Amino acid sequence: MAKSQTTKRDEEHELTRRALIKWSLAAGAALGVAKSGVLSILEKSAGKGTAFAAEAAATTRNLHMIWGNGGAAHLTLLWPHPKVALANNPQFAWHRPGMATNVAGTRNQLVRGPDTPWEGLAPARQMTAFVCGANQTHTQAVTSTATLNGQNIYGVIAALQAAAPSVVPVVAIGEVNYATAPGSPQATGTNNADGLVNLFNSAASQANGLLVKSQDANVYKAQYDAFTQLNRAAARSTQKQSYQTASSAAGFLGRNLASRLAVTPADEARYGINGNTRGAIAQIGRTFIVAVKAFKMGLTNSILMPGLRDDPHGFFAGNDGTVVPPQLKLVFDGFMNDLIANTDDATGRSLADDFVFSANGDTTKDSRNRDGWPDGSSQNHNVLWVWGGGNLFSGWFGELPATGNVQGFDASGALAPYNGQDTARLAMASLAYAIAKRDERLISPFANGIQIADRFGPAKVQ
Amino acid sequence: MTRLTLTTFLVASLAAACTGEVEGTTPEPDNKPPEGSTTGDEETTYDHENNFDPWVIIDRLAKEGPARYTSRVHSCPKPRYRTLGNVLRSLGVNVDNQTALSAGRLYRDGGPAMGEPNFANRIRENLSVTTSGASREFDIWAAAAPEIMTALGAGTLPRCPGVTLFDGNTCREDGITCLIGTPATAQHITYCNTTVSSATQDPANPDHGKRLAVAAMLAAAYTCE
Repeated sequence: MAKSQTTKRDEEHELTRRALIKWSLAAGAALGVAKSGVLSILEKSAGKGTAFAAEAAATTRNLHMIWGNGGAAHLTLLWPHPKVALANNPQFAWHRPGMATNVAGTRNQLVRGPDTPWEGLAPARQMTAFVCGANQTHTQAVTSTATLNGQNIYGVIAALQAAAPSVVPVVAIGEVNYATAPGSPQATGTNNADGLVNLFNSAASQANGLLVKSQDANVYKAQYDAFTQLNRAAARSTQKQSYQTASSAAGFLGRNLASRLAVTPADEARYGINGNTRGAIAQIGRTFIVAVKAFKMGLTNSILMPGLRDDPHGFFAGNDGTVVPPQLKLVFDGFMNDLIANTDDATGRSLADDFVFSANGDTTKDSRNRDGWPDGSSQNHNVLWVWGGGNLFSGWFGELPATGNVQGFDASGALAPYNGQDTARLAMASLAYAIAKRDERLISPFANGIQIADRFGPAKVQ
Repeated sequence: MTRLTLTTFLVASLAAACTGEVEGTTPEPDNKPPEGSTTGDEETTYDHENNFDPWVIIDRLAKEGPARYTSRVHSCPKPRYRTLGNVLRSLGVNVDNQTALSAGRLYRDGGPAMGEPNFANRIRENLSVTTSGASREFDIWAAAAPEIMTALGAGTLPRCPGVTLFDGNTCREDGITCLIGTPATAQHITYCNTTVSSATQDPANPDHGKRLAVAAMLAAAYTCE
């Protein structure tokens, strides 16, 4: 149908307004200006409607952990298979026999133990777990629980988040298998939490650096822009976007955000990190600390990071059961407490209200056999954990009974004979649904007709 | 009943029997689709690609132009990681420098931020200019400015032997040309001189403005490959 002139003009206005919002907020983030300051400027220059549109976030931020090389088995000690934990069987791979209890009020069964994080959250905001995918012993590049209809789920998430401005949209820490999806940005790699800080730091802005003085930083930015205009092709439409990005980077160079991102002793104390904390767990905690700060400042939307990758076959033979899960609980609790306590600089909302956590691994090991904790799993199943912040029904979809084969779930969420591929599709679509804040239209290009509302998560409130 | 009337009646009856028609109704088609379905299906209609955001495409068309134009015009990929290293060496920068915050150290540590390839994990080099990548590259140029000025001052660079960058505090055309790799214009010289004079003046660091100019020129020249 032909569009009316009014419709065309409205669409052009919306397109222009969208571009103005996007570049204003990205430039503000690059220059270290609080998003609220940018919104104030937008309100004065472009009206309240534009400012409100800029403030509303259509998607959540995301931190995803990949526990390769058998590390996901640790997650079964934090958020265990309900029937395995409740069976009170000393042969099972549950480190607290007799100490598991049902979490009251969750949509599906969820069980906690003494080392289960986030126990104080409301039932609707507890963990969701999907029995899905396939055992992939051993690999760091988990794919069976990271693919949605042929697309890398991390790329899909980044594509959904593409409209949300940030300095570095996706950060990949260590060896993680990020791949782009249509509309997603490239990931920026770094090695660890310190590297994450340095992404938003520059040598030039540090002591004795070239741009340590703000006057020099301003001169540098202005002269960079002037010099680029002398590049003959800089005005070409196919090059403008790159030069605009680079111009933001030139302005960013003189801002030193490391002091605001760096891990402090007080941070570590909140996360229970001390001299007795295992090195790998301390690294996880430090990454969590920096992630919260980066989210608060709107510097990034998505962080992919490794979990433990220690292939814990000997876990139950030593004292790991009294050390590792409690230390993990401390860092996870510190993380959630920080997300709840800190507010987004722009929206004023708690960070936890616009955040999704997810985790997967290559194998969860055999939860019903602690002797040598073998890598095999019933029906070759795997698991995806998602904290959807209330956007998904809490509890387990699918179950591993105390005896017999694992059960999967069907498109309605009900128990069904296990099918790794089908359950993985539904689980991935559910993760995307949570990121998209229950907007099924937004995820439809990737979900290809999978229905999540009222099956795996509450419907969007219109 | 006349013979003609009887014949007409018999022919009409025969026709009705053959077609199954009852006067006043239309026949049921043999190929009626199932209840609730459409006439076409995946086998008979074009399967449109729907895995994209149309607003992104409209946005790109509005900014860049149609494909028949953009396919004939250069874009702006970022300098390859290895290429950047070669350029740094050609300008007299010690890429193997171990000193913290030196240009060489920033270059060697900045691969992930600049999107270097990771062939072991089958990840190709990032081609786009990103904020993090450009920030790191510009940081390298800022750190490399003193080394480059020293090399140019000594007149020993293979790419432009005997060329110097400054006459006192005034920028030289041949020096700028050597630096950026393309013929310098009068505007290049003007902007370079402006940068030198606009920087903060530090008696303990008299070359500060010149370093700022070198860093800005190199960043602008090597934004795109």
